[in-house]
Amino acid sequence: MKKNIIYKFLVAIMLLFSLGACEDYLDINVDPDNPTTATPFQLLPAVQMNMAFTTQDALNRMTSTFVQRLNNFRFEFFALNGGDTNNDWNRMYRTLLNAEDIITIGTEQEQWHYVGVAKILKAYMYSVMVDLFNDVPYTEASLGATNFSAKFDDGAMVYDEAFALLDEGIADLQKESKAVLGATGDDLTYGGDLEKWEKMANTLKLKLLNQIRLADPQRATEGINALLANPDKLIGGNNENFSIPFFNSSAPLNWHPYYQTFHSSKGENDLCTFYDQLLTTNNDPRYPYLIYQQSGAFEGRDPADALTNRGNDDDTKSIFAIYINGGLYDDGGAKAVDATDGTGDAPARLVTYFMRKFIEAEAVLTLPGVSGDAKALLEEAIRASFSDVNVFSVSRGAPEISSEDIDTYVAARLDAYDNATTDAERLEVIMVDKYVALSGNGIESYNDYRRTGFPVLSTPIQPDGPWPLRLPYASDEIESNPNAPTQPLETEPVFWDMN
Amino acid sequence: MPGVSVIIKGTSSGTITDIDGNYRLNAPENAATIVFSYVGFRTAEVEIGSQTVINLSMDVDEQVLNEVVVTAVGIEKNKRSVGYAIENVDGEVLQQRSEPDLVRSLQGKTPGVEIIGNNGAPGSSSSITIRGYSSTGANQPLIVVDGVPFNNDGLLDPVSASANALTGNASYSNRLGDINPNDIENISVLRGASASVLYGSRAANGVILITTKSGKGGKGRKGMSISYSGSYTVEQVQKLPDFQNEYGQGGDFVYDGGFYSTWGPKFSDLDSVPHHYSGAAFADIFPELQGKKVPYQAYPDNVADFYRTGSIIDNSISLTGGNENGSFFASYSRTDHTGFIPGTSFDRNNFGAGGQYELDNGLKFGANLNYMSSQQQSVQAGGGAAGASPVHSQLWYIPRSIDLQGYPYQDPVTGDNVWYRTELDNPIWNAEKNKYRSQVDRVWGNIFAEYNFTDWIKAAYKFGYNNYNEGRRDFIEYSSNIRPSTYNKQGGLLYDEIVNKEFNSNFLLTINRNISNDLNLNVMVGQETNQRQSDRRRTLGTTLITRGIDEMGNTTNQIYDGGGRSKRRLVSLFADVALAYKDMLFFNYQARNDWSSTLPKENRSFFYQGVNASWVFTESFDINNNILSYGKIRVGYGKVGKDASPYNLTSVYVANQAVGNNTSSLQGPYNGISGLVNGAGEGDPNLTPEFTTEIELGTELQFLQGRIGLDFTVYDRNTTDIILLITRPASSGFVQQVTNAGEIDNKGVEIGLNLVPVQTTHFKWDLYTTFTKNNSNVVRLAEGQTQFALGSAFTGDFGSYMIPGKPFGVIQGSAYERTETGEMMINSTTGIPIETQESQVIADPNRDFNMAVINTLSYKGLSFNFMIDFLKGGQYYSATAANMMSRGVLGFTAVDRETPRVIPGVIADPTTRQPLKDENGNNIPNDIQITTGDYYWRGFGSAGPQEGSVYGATVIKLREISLMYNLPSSWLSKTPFGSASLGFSGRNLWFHAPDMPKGSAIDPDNGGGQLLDGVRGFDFAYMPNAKRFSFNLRFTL
Repeated sequence: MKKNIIYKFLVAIMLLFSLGACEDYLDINVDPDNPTTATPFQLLPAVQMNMAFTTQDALNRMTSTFVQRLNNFRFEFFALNGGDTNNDWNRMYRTLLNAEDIITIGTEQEQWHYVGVAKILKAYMYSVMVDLFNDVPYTEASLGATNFSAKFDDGAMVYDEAFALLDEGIADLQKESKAVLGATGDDLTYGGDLEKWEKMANTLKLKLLNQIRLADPQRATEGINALLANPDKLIGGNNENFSIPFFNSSAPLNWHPYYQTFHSSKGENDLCTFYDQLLTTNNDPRYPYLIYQQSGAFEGRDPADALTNRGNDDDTKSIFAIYINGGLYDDGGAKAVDATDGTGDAPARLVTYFMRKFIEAEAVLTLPGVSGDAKALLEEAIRASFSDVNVFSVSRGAPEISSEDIDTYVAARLDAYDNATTDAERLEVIMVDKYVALSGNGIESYNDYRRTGFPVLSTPIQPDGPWPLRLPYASDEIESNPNAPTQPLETEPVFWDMN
Repeated sequence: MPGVSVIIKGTSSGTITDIDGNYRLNAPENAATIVFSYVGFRTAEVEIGSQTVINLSMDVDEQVLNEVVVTAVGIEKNKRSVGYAIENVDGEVLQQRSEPDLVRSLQGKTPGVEIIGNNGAPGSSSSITIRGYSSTGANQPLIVVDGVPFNNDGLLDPVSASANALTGNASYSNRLGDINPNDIENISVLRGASASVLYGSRAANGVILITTKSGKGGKGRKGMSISYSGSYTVEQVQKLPDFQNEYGQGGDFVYDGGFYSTWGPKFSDLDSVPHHYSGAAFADIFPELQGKKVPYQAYPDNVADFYRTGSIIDNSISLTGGNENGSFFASYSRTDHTGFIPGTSFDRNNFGAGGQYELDNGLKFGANLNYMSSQQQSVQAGGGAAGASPVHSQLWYIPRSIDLQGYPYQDPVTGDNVWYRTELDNPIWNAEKNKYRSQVDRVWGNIFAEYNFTDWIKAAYKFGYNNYNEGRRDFIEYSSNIRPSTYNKQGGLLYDEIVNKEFNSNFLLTINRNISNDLNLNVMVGQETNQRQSDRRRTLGTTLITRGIDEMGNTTNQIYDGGGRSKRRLVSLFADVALAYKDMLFFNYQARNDWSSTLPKENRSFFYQGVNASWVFTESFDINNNILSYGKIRVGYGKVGKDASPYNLTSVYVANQAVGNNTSSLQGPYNGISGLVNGAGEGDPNLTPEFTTEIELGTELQFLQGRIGLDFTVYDRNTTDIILLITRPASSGFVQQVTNAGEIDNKGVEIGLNLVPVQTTHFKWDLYTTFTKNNSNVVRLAEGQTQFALGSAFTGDFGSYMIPGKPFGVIQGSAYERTETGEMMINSTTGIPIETQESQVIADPNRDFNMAVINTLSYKGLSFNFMIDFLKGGQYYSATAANMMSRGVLGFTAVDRETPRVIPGVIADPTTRQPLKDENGNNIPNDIQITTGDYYWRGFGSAGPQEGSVYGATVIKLREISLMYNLPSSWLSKTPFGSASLGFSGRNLWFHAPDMPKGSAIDPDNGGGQLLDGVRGFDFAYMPNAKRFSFNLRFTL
């Protein structure tokens, strides 16, 4: 009898224990360490910085190697594969998701200025992706688990969307916003200055229109003319440049990637002899701000030179200098640099005033419907570049380039322009200078070369494949996305490359 | 027979027979019966009556060997009634065998279990798998100690901006190393799913049930006894390469003191060379060496002299006592292990105590508590990529002409690193200054109560608790070249704090009743609740202030380097129904339902079951003769469900996440501004459990009165809906997701064969052979997924993968471009093989089979045994062997070195990757001569395709040897000692790997410092094993 009660009691206990299976006890599967929601001001800093990093890191080294400023043994022989672009493709799309989050959350919360900035950044990123990969996922992208098989949209169509995004973004900046952009220091580029964002968006439009001028000259002409009609809505000076900063900090690591690769982990990269020769031929006073000669003389490599041994040249090879990576100004000191030499805080110069002037010069020269004085624009562009070099370098302790030296150089370049007999030769002068002015921006120079054929590069010595007109798709994307196309040949040009 | 226990029944007084089988016993007046017992023989009881001399002979009890096994949920069962594969390992065979690590001491002793030690650092981890890999993530079996789950984490240095599996350290330990082998009473290995249903989700890969002496309990004899066991071991590096000592540093027979390689001139060709520190770069540090020259000669022992003779001092003392109501046990042991690699050591202290008591009313209760504290110190070990520079990444192939011991290794003023290569650390300096230290403190224990309501209903409750704290300090000294993008040669410290807690509550009700004369029914119903939580925090400090101090306060900048908390709960109900018919036919049904906190609500509850049956056919057909004395067939089917890791259902935002690669990276906060990003992984709100289904068939046979015993099992195991971290296209915004995808098959054979070829009164020769063969196959992955990378830290496409249609964990890398007929394509300009552009499968690390033979010869009190392991098949990628060959340090590279060579193959165009044809349209055999250096270096070595560094992993080794002498009782009768034994043992004394490069001395049974779940089969910086020799002593008082 007593035992009966005990049995019942036991059963009750067991049921009690298993009722612990009741939902409350097991409802503990929420990560205590990471939030599931975020606000736009929390997301904006990493969108900017990761975008800057992606354009300045491996993609920069790759494209800079193609246009023979840099010499990196992984890329100089061409024949790239999906493993080479994996990291950067992944990172760009992850950053695009964050930008999309800002747009979604910002729209809900009516934080329109954040929405506007996010749209502008999204347009920039997609334009870079199309420039490198042509067809990329757009309409079905950034949908998380809802769509793991995004289709690849036409490059031209994505560019169209980018134009639309820029217009929307500009419009959003005009609205009343429930949150002040940059109030918590989250706008690392413009500090919350809405006017500068609008100017940047318009200048970006200018760049994109110029980019497609071979594929759609009519649209390019109309668009460019419309923009040039309102010049105060474009970036008007270097103080309005869209240059996302890096910072002088090793822990946490905030240095410019070129500073890390040339001052910190010094292996892998050399400079290309073509770059040195171009600067030397033109007696360019910017040389010591662009190239630092660790051994006192230029030591670099020829493109795709498989025969010459690399050896241990970390401390004697020539490297990028202060303007490009925040390192040293070359005062002839011939020092084997390390991570204490310099500040490492050169920015990612993505859309700049001097870039604008070069684009205008090119447009005037090549599009009959766009009027202007190409030579004058060329001079403005060159002087703007020198000004930027001076301002940046002087603020970090380097001497400035004297106005006499600048004048001498400008005069020589304008002479070369005058001596050119064809438009192609004139364009070459413009593009050669643009190549130097944009020294830290491999992706832009890679675009410029494909669009114009200038500067005329040297012949790579022993490449493993043809000069790539586009980059391979990331191997992870190809393998895990059932709707991804097969890997295209590197000789397939992007849609705006009609050469 | 010697060693037979002769006890007066009902007391603890008695004796043991001596070598001749004689005994003397003083029996008190009221003594009525004497009990004679000996393992393997039927216990005999003899009435004393009025006899003064009692002699008898004992009968072999063939059916008694391994009679009682500890099965699921700690219940002891008669092995004949168990319908699944189960193996018992007696604690004795793990002890005093020159192996202080519990997991490694199990190698070869039970079929079906594959154990691989990670490397030769003291305290380093081992991986343990049963029946192959059936999932990603934790594939290890559930470890249960005294009825309570025991955490066996082997947390590797994490994937973070500062360190990862390839570049981080690899000397970390796993938590099974916290148990002192001397405390083990018995280990039961349950290999199959049908055995694991009762242990639930975590037992999907098998269960290892450990019973410790402190947990054993049981009614004790009256009185107390103390036992001591100790051993002193010396250890040395297991084997060193066979180096050439004819040529020195340089390339193409030209001397160059800056080269890695030893392709320089013959020693007889050059008299002297500049001292490596005599150049301008060392003018400030060693002014006295400026312009100095040293003789150009070989230093044959420059690698051998790096190592030292290590030692292990192991002492254990324990106390047992009791009376007819209860017993207690207390123990203390200490292991002091100084490794043969300078700068390595492992010290461990274990305290244990336990007891149990039975009240008059039948309530039995008890408790058990253990505390362990260990300190491990090691050198930088592990992958060796991108500036990680572990000690062994260059040690074995430093040039033959460098006097490593004779040169200074540090700046005499500052103590900074000096080496002839400015971007590397001097190996001696590296081992002395860059430290890895780990401190683990662990507590585990349980309390339990049992009550018999009647003689056929019993209830038992056990609550167990397990808690460990580990602090790891990975210290890089100022001026070290390790991880330059993180430390910038200014030193630093990575401090990793890990806290882990677990509790387990288990309630069991057992009903055992004979429902008829022939039929016995046993029903068990149980409820179990388990909670596991962990907390981990890593802090990275950079730029040391004072050299040599490994404390965060001694760094200039500290940043948070990741970590986090996690918590999970599992609530279960289970039942086991067993029917036994006439003690010869047995049927068993098991079922379990789990509720897990880590799955979404609608999928949170999952049910699985198993059934097994066994038939002792020798009983049915009344066969019991001298040929076949025991025969049993068993068959089982089981299904086990497994839940996911916590927090995989939704994506989260992560703060200040680092991005980048090994060349450059970026991490927030940016100029003080923090940023959130979407985490890399998308959640899966529809996650379901993964299920392993298994069918098993086996037989146990005993022939010739126990002279031959066979335990044979075949199984087929299939795991579906594997919870996998799969790659997702980045276009979605996420690059990975934990989801159900994939299916893996494992099929195999397990054999345990016991032979007693010779047995006389005094002498016995026993041969125990284990044979394990497992074939795995990845049936499929997620839809459209062609491969899944295991481990996330490799460069390019090289690494371990799951690929549909291939065995688990094959290695992919660059290969030789070949024609359709398999000939190598040779570059028509260079004479070097052409490397494929895309990665291919180049190695399969899975073994054909693992076999071990344990020979035991015993003569009177002397026992001699040795174990030979034969691990056949599989492939091993050895960057170390390839590097040694490529750098020209191995003996065979000096043979005919001046003679040019031709790589067999056909000439091909490197751009088109097609063979060139002659005028008849045939392939042209390669005739381009290359130097011997290029042949080994670019043809088949480190500069060639990765396929060239893959070698056969077959190895045969003399793993264990021991000689023990049990002192006869006649010698001890006048002393306080009850028993004593002493002897010698040795481990890893010899091995031969026929397919590894000649003289490379690499043992492919070494994890290479890369062991991760499923990632195995290669080394980047091989850290050798130790060979050991011990003197052992044991006695009881």
